[in-house]
Amino acid sequence: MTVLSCPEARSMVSDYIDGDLPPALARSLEEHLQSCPWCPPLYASLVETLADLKAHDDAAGVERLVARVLDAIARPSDGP
Amino acid sequence: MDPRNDLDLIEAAKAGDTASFGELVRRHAPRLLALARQFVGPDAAEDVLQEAMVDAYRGLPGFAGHAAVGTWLYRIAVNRCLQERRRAKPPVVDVEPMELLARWEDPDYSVDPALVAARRAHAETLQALLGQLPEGYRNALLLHDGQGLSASELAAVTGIPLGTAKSNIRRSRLALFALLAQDDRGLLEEAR
Ligand SMILES: [Zn+2]
Repeated sequence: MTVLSCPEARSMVSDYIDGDLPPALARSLEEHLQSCPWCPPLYASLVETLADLKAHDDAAGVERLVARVLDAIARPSDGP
Repeated sequence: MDPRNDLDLIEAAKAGDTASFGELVRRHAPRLLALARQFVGPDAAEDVLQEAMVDAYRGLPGFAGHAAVGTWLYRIAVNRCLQERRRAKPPVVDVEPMELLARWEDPDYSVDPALVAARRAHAETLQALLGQLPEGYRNALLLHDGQGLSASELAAVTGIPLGTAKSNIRRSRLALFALLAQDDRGLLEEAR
């Protein structure tokens, strides 16, 4: 198993979050996150931050949008 | 609920039945509204989507069914959102992404998790910080982390090479986080 330095481990966390890290490297990173005093809070905080970005489907305004679209396509286009 | 599937609705709309097109919009609108609100803000979101759905309606004759209907609508909406962002908010990049990324290379880099949590608690803070990142980074965060698009979908939707999409995903996350975690009261006030 490769022993990772902190910068090496941090360069891999994004791929790890997406499950894109080759299994051997993923194990090395997990090992690092268990033994390193510095990286785990960074990692946990990063994961939480990215979770905040997740968009949630939003039903508010759907009917208004449908009405606006139907209205717009019913209007004769003001093109050439 | 209308029992017809998306392709039935497309065929009916192509034949001139606008109500079927309305039903198609209704089905996909929750996801599209979430996208547009993140990208251009709640005020402009419906305007942008209205334009996008009119684009889609006019593009119906060219829809050949190679992509899923939802994906097709989604791409059209993303294009309109990107246009609107470029038009309304010319990029004001006042951070140096490489400098943010370099922090992660420093073995002594650490953050105060309580500070990060406090800043994250303000939704406006993240929005303001996203606005300071280069467009490619912001697109990666909003479309990959926000909307769940894969790297190849991100590349296709924004018209960039796959390698660039992958690198933007990686870098944008570290850059956003470094920006969020820096102990900068001025930035925090500004974001409020
Ligand atoms: Zn470490």
